[in-house]
Parts: sequence; structure tokens; C-alpha cells
Amino acid sequence: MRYSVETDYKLLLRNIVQYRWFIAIMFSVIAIAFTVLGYFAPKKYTSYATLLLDSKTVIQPLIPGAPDTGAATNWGDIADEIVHSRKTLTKLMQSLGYIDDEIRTVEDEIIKDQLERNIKVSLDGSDKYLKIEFSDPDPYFAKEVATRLTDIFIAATHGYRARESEEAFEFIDQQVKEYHRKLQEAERRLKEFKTFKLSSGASSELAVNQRLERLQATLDQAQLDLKEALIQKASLERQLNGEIQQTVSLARQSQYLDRLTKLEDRLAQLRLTYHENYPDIVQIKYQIEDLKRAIEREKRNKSMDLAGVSGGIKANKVYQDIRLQLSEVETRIATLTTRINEVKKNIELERQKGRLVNDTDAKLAELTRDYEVNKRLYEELLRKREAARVSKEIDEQHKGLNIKIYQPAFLPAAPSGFRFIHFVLMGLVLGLLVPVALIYVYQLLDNTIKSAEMIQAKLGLSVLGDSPDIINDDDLAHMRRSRRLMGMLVGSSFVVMVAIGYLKFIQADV
Amino acid sequence: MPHSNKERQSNIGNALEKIIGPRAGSTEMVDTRHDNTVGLRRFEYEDGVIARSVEAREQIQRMAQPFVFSREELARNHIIVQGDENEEALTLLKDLRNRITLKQAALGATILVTTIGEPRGASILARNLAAIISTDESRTSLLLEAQDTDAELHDKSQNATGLYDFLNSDTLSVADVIHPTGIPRMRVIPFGEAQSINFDYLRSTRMRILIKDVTRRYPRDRFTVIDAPPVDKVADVELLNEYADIIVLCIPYGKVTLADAKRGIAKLDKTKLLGTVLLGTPRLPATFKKFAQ
Repeated sequence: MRYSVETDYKLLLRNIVQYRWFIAIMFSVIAIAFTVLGYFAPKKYTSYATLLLDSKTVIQPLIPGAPDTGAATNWGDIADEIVHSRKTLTKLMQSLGYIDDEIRTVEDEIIKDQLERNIKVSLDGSDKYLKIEFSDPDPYFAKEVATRLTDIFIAATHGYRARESEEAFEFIDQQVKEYHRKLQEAERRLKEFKTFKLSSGASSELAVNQRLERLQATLDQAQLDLKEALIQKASLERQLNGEIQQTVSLARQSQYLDRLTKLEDRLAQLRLTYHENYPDIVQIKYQIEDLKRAIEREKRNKSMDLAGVSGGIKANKVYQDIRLQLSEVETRIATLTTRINEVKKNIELERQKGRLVNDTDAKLAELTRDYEVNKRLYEELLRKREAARVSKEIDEQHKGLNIKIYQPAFLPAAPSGFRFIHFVLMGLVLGLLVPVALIYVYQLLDNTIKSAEMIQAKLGLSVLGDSPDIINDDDLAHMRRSRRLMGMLVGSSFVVMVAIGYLKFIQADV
Repeated sequence: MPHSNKERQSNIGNALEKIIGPRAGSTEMVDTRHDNTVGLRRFEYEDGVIARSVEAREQIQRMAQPFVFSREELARNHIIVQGDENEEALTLLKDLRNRITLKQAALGATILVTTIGEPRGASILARNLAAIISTDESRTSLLLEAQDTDAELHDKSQNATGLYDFLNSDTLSVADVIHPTGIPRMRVIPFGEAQSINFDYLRSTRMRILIKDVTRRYPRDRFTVIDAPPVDKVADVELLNEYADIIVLCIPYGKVTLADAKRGIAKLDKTKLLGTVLLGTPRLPATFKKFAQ
């Protein structure tokens, strides 16, 4: 039970005195146990080789931008992996003569495990040194294994590095080939397209527009001309009709006039003979009247009635002229119409072409872009491949990462790890500490009354004093005897420890 | 404080009584607890301490002292003599004695020594307390062993009767069971040979008679130390509360939890409790003493 820090340690002292037998026995047991343990603990000799990881090379400054040669790799982990790998251990066992080529039997496995357990790889000195250690009871064997292991490791790292760069090179090479193919493909497509475009006559938008304009102009012109021609034709027709009319009318008129003349002649004749009131004269006069009226009428509205008109019309020159002109015009009209249609068709075609052209332009742009990109990538890959090639060459010739043996494996003179004396000391120290600690724990848990303060504080009673038990001479003798006994116990455990130490000492020399 | 002539006369009478012997019916001497005579006595003590102690000494010298313990015998009974090993205990006992004798102006008191848990330490303490009180030539002590102990304070060769015998007989008187010890001026009522203890022995009538007689007959003469069984182990120890003037509680080191202690203490009369004593602390070697005290 904790009361206060002061009474705590005082109480601990009292408890130590009270339970001295417990302490004595535990001390003896622990000390002897540790000594025995130390006796049986095998001596271990550790031999190790130190390797220097030099990641700067001569080449790097010469080729700026050359690939880094191992500076970024985490050599600690890699080394650990390589050294503890089955392959390395197999090689080691081969080199030591345990196996011929492969690990086959269970015994081989056991040997491998034993070897592996005693191997340690560590990075040292801010990652610049690599230590490969091997521990064994036999110092010569330890050195031997350490040396061989180091050699195997160095060989493995070179292989590792070379493999790595070779793989990198392979990969980039493959990529280069791939992109080469893609580039060719893009080129081909572009070429095809351009050819197709050229063959289809499709050209640029500008050309199309120009052509469209031209066509449009032509069309407009043609349409104007057509209109003109039509007007002309109409007018000619009108003229012709007019002419015909005129001719007809004139013909009729002339006919009338002829008749009139005739009638008038007759009239005159009759008049010579007869009187005005002669019925024939009257008739003729009436006829002449009518005729005149008809002529008048005719003059006024020229009828188209061809009845009674003879075919002298066609002989009319004007009429013929007009007819000629008319046919010319008609021909022109036909021509123009055809042309107009043609032009319209062309325009439509051109418009379509124009649409196509836009599509084509876009497509062309895309293909061109495709091609450009591929080309760029390809060039870059080419560059990278060359770099990888250089790196591979470097690694193949071991000029990249310099793993130098800074310090080869040595023959260990003194054993490492816990020596016998350590065990003995540990036994002594623990032999005291453990029981005292246990007593302290007991003290913490103990809730009986052991101090005057507790009585005063917790029970509220005054304490008149405290004293040990009253002893008499017998008790005293008893105590002395017990003390002697304890002394003997502790003494004898020391003797035992010394004896074991002596045995160990003898053993070491043998 | 009135000093009437009558009272003075009665005091002188008491002194004479002591020399001559008790008068029949002198009841003034019996029950001195609850009247003014105590106060008077204190005055008396201050005034005539030397006279009284001389008087007492003379009287006491006439006590029968058939044998004296040798050193070995004392040691066997765990009575302290002037020796080095028990220095602390000796200091403690002296301190206790001083407190007791100073507290009680009279030359007598009844001290109940009891414990919680283990009986042995208290028994030894009671024994020693009685012994150390009796070292003063003007005082006598009586040890009443109310529990079975391993002490042999009286002369075993005589067929000595003890408490047990008294309890089981009707004929024995109190004087029969009081025996002298090898320590001058110390008497003992031994526990006696007990074949089987009646658990209620403390409650029995005979016990009451004994106690009453022992504690009230000669209150001024002697200090009675009652070696009582552990208060939490044996019932009825609280009955002894009534007869005691002072209670000393022993607590054995490392054997009693607070709960037990509280339970035991509850049975005791707090007003009479002089204090507690922690017995049985581990003996430390001399070097440790510096650090652990």
C-alpha cells in the first residue's frame, strides 16, 4: 500500500530485511542459473566484410542527362534480399561443398536455414557502407563464409544491375518499334487521304468558294440573258404576230382596197352608164361603204383571221426577218436554259464539294496531328532508347556502380555477443533486482498495517511507539545461526559460480 | 479545593490503615473512581510525595518475595533486562510506564493490554509492562493473564492455581490465585492449566468476581495489567473495558489489515484508550537504521 514516497522506500528497506531469506534464495537460484546458461552459451565469432557503395562514376559528368547509375536504389533492402535469397544461399552451399547443385534433402534445408540465421546484412555510415556478417563458433569458418558470401553478393549485384538495365533497354526498344509502326500507319493514312482529296478534285475551301462565285456569276448572267432572250422572243413574237397581223391586215386591207378599187372602178363604170339611183350603183356604193368601213375596222383592230388571206404572208420579208430573228432567239433561249440548268447543277455539285471540303479539312487536320504526335513520340523514344543502350553498355562493362570491397572479411580474434562473464554479471544483477522488484510489488499490494503513520492517519489513533519483538538469548542465537546459514548459502552459490567459470575457462582452451 | 479537617483526618486514617491492616467496612478505600478523593489524592501526591513513597516502600518491602528470577529465567519469559538487543522495546516500555504513572496520580491503575490478530506480542508486552512498573520501589504490579500464555512467572513447583482453576471452582478465593513472581513487587494470576477453554469464560460470574476484586480492592496500591486475548478473536473482551482505566492496544506489524483494525477498535472504549503500539517491526541492522528511520 503506498503511503508516501518517504515511507515507501523506508518500508522497502524493512521489507527487504524481513524477507531476506527470499532474496537470498532467489539470488542464488538466478545467479547460478545464469552462470549455467553462460556456460552452455556457445561462443560466437562474427566475421564481416565491408563494401563501399560508390555511386558516382566517371561517365556521368561526360554525358549530361545520362541515366543515374544506382544512386536512388535502396541498397539496404536490395542487399538484404539478395544475400538472403535462395539463389545466393544455394551458391554459397555449393561453394562450401555442402551440396552439388541444388538443395534437395531436408538436411540441406536445415543447413541452409542455419546458415541463413547466422547471416546479417546492414547498412552503415549513412548508407555508404554495406556490411555482410557471418557468425559461427569457429572463427575460421566464419571468415571463410563471409568472404565467399561477399563474392557471391558482388557477382549477384552486377548481374542484377545489368539485368535491370537490359530489361529497361528491351522495354524501350519494344516501345520504339511499336511507335515506329504507328508512325508509318499514320503516314500512310495521311498520304492516302491527300491522294484521295487530290483525285476528287476537291481542293481547298477557298477554291471552292471561288468556283462557286464564278458559277453563281455565270448563272446570274445566264439567267439575265435568258430573261432578255425571253423578252426578246416575246417582243419578236409580238412583232411577228403584229407583223402577221399587220401583214394579214394589210393583205386584207389590200384586198379590201383591191376590191374597193374594183368597186370604184365599176362604180365609175356604172356611173358612166347609169344613174346614181341605179340599184347596182347603190349596191356598189353600199359595198364601197361597207368596204371602207371594213378597212377602217381593219385598220383599227387588226384581226388575225387568216381567212381569205392568201399565202402571201409568208413571203413578207419583214415577216421572214422576224421569223428568223425569232428562231434565233428561240435557239438562244434553249441554249441559255440548258446552260442555266448546267450551271445550277454545277453549283449544287460545288456546294456538296464545299461540304465535303470542310469535312475533309477536319479529317486532314486530324490525320496530320496524329502523324505529328506519333512522330514526336517516336523521336523521343529513340532518344531514350539510345540512353538506355548506353546505360546497358555501362552496366555490362561494370563501369556503372562501383561496389568495392572496402574491407575484406577478417579472422575474428575475439568472440562477439554475450560472453560468459556477461552472463555471470547479469545473473548477479538480476539476482538482486528481481527479488527486490517482486518485493516491491508485494509491498504495493500489501494492505496490512506496517507503519505508525498509517495508524495515525487511517485509524485516528495515537501511536505510542513501535518496537521489534522482544527477543531473548535463544532468539538471538537462533538469529545468528540463521544469518550464518544465509551467508553460507550465498557464499556457496558464489563458489558454484566460480566453479562453473573455471570449468568454462578450462573448456575454452581445449 | 476544600481541605476540611475531617477529610484530612480520614486521609491519615487511611495511611494508618495501610500499616495496621484493613479495617472492616472501610468502604472509602474501595470505590475511589468516581468521587472527589482522586482529586484530593492528587493534591496529596503533590504535597507529600516523598512521604508517601517512603511509606509505601516500607510497606512494600514487607511483601513476600520468596524467589527471584535469574537472568536466564527472565530471558526465558521474554522479560527485558538491560540489554542491547531490546533497546527500542525498553524505551517503549519506559515511555508507556511513564505515561501510565503520570496519568494516574494514584499509585494504582488497571491497564488493559490487548491486541488485534496475534496474541503473543501483547502478552509479552503486558508482562514486561508489569515488570517495568514494578522496578520502581514504591510500586507494585499485578499481571492478570486472561489468556493462555507460555510464561512461567510463578513458582511452578508449588501447586499454583490460576485463573482457570478459580473460574471452575467455587471455593477458591481471589487471594489464593495471586502468586508472587521472580520479579520483585510483581504478582501474577496465571492462566492455569487449561484442558479446554470455555469460550465464555470472560463472561462468567466467577470472572466478574475476580476482576472486580482485583481491580477494586487495592486501587492505590498497585497497577494491574490485564493480559487480554485479541479483541477481534475472542468475544467479550469488551467486557473488560469496564474495569480498565487505561487501554493499550497492540498492533502486530504486517498482520492486520485496516478493516480488521477498525473492527477491533470499535469494541474498545475510546476514552480509555491510551494509544496503540506497533509491535514486531523488522529488526534492521545498524547501518540500515539510519536510512529507515
